[in-house]
Amino acid sequence: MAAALLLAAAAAAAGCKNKSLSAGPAYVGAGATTPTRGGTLRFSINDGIKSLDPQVAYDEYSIYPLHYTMDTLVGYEKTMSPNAVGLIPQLATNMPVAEERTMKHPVSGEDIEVWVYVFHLRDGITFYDPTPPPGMAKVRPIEPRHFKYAIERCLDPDTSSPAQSFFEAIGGAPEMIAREGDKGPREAWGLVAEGRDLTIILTKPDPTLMYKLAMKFASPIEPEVVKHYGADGLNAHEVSSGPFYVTSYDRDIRIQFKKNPEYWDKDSIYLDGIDMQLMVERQVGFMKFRARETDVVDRMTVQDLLSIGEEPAWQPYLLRDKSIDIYGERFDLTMKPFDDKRVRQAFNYAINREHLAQLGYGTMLPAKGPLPPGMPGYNPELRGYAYDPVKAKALLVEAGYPDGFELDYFITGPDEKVEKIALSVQADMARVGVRLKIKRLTFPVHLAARMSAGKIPFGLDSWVQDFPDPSNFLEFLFHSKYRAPTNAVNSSQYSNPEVDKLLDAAAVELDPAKRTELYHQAEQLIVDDAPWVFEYHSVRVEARQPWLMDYKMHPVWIRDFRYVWLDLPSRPR
Amino acid sequence: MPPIVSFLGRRLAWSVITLWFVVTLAFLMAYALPADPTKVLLGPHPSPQQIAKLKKQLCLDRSLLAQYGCFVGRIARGDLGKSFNAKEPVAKIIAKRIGMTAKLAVSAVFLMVLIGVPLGVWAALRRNQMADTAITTGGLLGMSTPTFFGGLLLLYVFGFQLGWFPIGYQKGHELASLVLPAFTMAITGIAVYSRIVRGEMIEIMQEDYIRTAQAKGLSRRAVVVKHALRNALTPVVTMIGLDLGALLGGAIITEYLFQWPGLGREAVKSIITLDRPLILGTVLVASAFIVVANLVVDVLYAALDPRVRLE
Repeated sequence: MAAALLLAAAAAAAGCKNKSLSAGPAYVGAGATTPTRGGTLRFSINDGIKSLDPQVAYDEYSIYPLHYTMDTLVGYEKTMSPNAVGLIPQLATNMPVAEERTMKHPVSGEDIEVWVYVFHLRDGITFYDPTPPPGMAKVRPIEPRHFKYAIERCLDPDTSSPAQSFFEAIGGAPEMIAREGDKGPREAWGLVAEGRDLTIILTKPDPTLMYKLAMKFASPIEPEVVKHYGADGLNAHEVSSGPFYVTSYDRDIRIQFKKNPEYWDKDSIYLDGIDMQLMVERQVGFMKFRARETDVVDRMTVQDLLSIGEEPAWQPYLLRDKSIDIYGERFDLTMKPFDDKRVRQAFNYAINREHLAQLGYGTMLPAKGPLPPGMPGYNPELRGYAYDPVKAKALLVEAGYPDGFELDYFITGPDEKVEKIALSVQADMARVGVRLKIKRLTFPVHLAARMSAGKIPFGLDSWVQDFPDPSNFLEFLFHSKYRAPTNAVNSSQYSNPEVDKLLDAAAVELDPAKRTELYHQAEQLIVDDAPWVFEYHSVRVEARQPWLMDYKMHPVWIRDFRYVWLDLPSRPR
Repeated sequence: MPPIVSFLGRRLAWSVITLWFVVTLAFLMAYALPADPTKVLLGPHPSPQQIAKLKKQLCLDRSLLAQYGCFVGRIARGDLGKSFNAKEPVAKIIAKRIGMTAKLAVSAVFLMVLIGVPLGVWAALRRNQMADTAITTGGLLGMSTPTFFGGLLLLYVFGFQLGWFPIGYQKGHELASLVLPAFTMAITGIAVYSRIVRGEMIEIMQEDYIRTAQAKGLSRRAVVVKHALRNALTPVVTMIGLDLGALLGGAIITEYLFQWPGLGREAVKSIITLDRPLILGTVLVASAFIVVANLVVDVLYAALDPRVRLE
């Protein structure tokens, strides 16, 4: 009877106050044409935040709160600018270029070549900490030593920071990384804080240094705060150096922010606060959006996406933007039959990427190679694999598999999109005689297996940028130095000395045009060798309420609400 | 030794063995999985030194047997370990969330009894009539409704369309936030309870002592409530105990769907992130509730029905 009551209630609810989607948003903004101040932006995510420790947090969702509360020496241009992946000074006043010098190594005394960057800090920049540790003020000046300490915290083995390898070119970093207990330095000589300047000395050129300094790992932090809270305490407590500060945080439930009254660029910030609900189921998140409890929604289920995406009245309020990522399947090149390039190429020809993209209802863009369009270094001339099952079959015959073979195909989930992709790939491969058996693993098991050699011959894999530079994709995924029996970032165990040479040359090439050319060559060789089936780059789709203004998805920060404004009060349409 | 003391002693011993068995099984499942929590914690490009250091910190560098010994030793000292993700003691996390789970579980059981029992009585007294058919069919539907679907439907109708209740948990509106998840959890129970009570009542109403009571001239209401219902409730008491025990361990789907800040959400999160201490902590608490509930039910059963012997 309970279910009968439910059904009766469902029928009775027809024609209730929440209108159908076809009518479009029920409310619109007040109609302001210039930004107005005030209001709290509300949104939900379908997972929790792992950490608020800027030197530890790494996943997409943990970065959201850090982006609202922390600034760095350099940052990305504001979302509304045409070139949002461009870098600009943030807490520094300048964007230095590398000055090549010779100096004496502070430990060995040998003459070494170094690349030096001198950053000058803005005046009047402060930390804001409404509940400071005893003896500390609410507002405290940000000094160069706080950036030095932040980077050293990343390098320190005690921190377990995912960013350790990003800063290994800094003088003294390898010694810090190798420190065991008290044997080894706790400071890097390549980081010098003096007056209002921070000098960074590299022992090898790093064209991606600015991108790395724009990551939240390099947000300033005080040693006194770290000492007070301890590494565990920092998981849930932070001190603001950005436009907002945390007012309350209930792990996996909700985190709320208010505007930082001491922020150096506070005139650019229109919101009074941000309210972020955590671990909200996707369909429930969509209901909250439709009930006007949230101002913007993403990661809609396919049925919700279809329902709103095809309504003309909603089109002005839908946002679509390419993500900087690559999704597909990776082969394990140490396992048969994938030690044979012809078999890998056959898979690449056999899989119909255009069909796959249709399954994503506009959320997937067919890929030719690892680098997505829209990021620096993308090569529109790259030769990929067109759908050609005849050629695929011929390659399999040539490789000695005229009758095809059976193969376990490892996916993760549960995820409706992943399952659709898997079924489509299975059908495509069956056409050329390869019988795939789909096996689903939980995420931690899949991750461990795919990063180990000899475990998963063929399975889903993906890479989402740390920063929009080709090195972040090509080097980590395809340089032979990242192969390993376990914990291999180069999960296909791919190795091509020619590719290594090109990637090594590009990694230290400071001329952007020459560097891009080197990456184009490396990418083409990688695609020809086919260590992956590069299937698609994702396209994010979000819906906003009509009163959420100047919101544009950011390619790096994803949900950048720093500079948006709310056209409140909203009124019925 | 009085029978009740030896009965309790035996049951307690079995309870401890059951708990040990469940926790060992959970340990084996969580630790023998071919997955490495350091990969989830350190991101995609950690150095070998970082992995080694973290493994040492988390005791993952020891053999499975050594880790098990370490784990049992900690449990014996009342220490459930520290969550890999939250970096907080598991006992503290459980203590923080268990109150909310208890509120939800008690409310759900309350609804099950409050709605399920009268429906069962009503159906029994109108056997083979329209009301009985409706209640029985509805009960079947209720029992077959998956929690996820039932919860979403309730949210859609009463939260989104009618706007009577919040869509998900809202701090400061706890009572309003409680209604839909409690009802979602109660749907199956209402159906089960009504069916049990209906069956019992039909049987009891044909007993000799009911006829005697009717012959004495007692009102129908007195016969039904005092004589029949009291006896029909014995199996319901068993069910209440077991349901309460099971629900106190955390309702994974309901708590996730309604953002209810209880143990169930912690369980979901711990499984997704392979937070082994938290997985084992939530399993231990959930199984402890079930074991204790079983024990209480057995004792209550004997107290309610003198025909039950403490053997």
